[in-house]
Amino acid sequence: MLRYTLYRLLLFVPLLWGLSVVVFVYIHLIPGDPVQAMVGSSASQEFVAQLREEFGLNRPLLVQYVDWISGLPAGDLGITFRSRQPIAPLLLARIPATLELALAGLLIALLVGLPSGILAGLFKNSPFDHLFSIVSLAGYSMPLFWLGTLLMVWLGVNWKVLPSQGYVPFTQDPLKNLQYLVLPAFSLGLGLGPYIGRMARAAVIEALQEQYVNYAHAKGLRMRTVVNRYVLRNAMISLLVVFGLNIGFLLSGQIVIEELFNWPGAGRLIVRAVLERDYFMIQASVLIYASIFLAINLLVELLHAYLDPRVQLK
Amino acid sequence: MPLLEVDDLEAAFLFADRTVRAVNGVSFAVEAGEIVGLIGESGSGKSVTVQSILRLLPSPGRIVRGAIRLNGVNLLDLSREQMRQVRGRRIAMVVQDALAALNPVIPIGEQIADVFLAHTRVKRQTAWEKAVGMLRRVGISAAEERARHYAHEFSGGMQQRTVIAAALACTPELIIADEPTTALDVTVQQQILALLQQARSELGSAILYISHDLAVVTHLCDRILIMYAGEIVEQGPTRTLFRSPKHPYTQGLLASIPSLHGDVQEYLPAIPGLPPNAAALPTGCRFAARCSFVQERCRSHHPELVSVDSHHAVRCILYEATTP
Repeated sequence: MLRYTLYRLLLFVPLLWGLSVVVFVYIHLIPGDPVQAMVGSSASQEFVAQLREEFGLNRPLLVQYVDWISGLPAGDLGITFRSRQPIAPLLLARIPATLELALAGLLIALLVGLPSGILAGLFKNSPFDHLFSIVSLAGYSMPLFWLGTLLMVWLGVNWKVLPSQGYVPFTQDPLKNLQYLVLPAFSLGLGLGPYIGRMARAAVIEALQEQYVNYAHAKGLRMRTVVNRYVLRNAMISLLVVFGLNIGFLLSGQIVIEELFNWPGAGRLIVRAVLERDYFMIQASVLIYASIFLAINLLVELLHAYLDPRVQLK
Repeated sequence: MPLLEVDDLEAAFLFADRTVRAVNGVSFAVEAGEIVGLIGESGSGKSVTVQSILRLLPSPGRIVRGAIRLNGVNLLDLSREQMRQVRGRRIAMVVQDALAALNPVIPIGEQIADVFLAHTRVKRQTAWEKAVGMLRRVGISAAEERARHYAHEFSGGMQQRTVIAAALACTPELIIADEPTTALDVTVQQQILALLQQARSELGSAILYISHDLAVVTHLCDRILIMYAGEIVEQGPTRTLFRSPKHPYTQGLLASIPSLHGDVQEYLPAIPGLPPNAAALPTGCRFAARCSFVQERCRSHHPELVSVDSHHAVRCILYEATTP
């Protein structure tokens, strides 16, 4: 187990490096000149040349890459194009809000999706399962921004039960913080919940078809034992793996919800960067988000190895 | 009163578009401490018979008719909870694919301990110790340590021993062994068969041994039932059946066992053709299409199971005529 963990962590390093190459090349593969694109076509040639000089974009690509990547380990993500502020502190300041929303949304999604999906799977083809299939399909098909807008319009604007725009730091006013959290967290959670629910249902149905479940019944085990130790134990492991592969849904959904509810997280920063065509900012945020994606997957893999004795270093 | 009495069992799979009649009017009995072989090829209904006895037919399977009595009590009348207490405690199961039957993410020992926890009032720790004892009893060395291992870390033979250990845990009156040696190599097969015989001699358990292989069961079984297309076509004591098989199907099965004595045959005779489709069974004898003694009447007349000797019965037109 320890060897496996070390091996996985070691493998993570080249993975991150590869990621940095892809992100860097991707930005420079965009047709046309990044500076030209950033300042617009009306800018004079001298101005563009001056900016290229200032940001070092006239140097060979390899030099630029080495310059960029050598700053990364120290946490230097470069500076923004517009305000010329260092990017790292900007992103870092957004992390608490982003993390709070992500965790709250995930918690709600799990609370909604897991029990209903598991029940639907255990009682396949029952009226509850049919109801679950309809509701989850509807929820699953509903774009996040629309679900968020509906909640915002009903609860925030029409009935004015909850604030729908903005954020108050927890340290400043815990109660207010939670009030502001409710709508975006539920939008994210209710959007993600059906997704998790359907994955849970599929995992449970798959486990139910296994011979060891049938054999557990043949041993005369109590229903409770069969469900907990034989069905769910296995279903949750496969659910964990599927969930890890689909974590992108949570990350991208979060960006949409942050923008919609004016939630000052890292996601809004990316949207801003894209709208302002701030290539350095985009480059840095894409790198961070992709790293988070990889890190979560690493975590899932380690957890998988811990829970499933069959996973071992070959 | 026999230990187990299957009486006119009819089991079918009711699909939306067709009904597969897997078991048709099967009746047999197993006496206490007896080892009975249930022989048939794939699709003959032997596994469905077993699943019916345990009331574990997969959907959309249904027991349409009949009774299954254990010491005179019809299992089909029991509540779910009562039936649960029968499974694993009074009727235990040994399956063919032990690896698939073992939970991959729970240690071996715990899976045996679960049986004790389900049927007896014991603490988890006691159940675990008893499980280790069971592993030791089926011949697994270093049982204490092995109990903490997982199924995939066991060899095929050890996996099968584990399943037998779980089956013997509550000293069942009947063990149903569904092709327990099919997936194993020959030496391990012998060890597993020896374990089952030991279970009979030490615990007094009766065994219903399901197999498609007549050769394997000869030395094990007291009595043999031959199943074909969902019904019993011949039954009798093992020796009688081997010495004077009556049904053309049984004769064909015996002829296809390679012999260690006498001349080496260049070709091993095989029964031509395939069993009938259980969703569209013929009206006459179900073996007629493959039988080398087939007569005109076989195609329309469905023969009854008739006694040819005190314990020997056969379902064939050739013997129907001789009895009044």
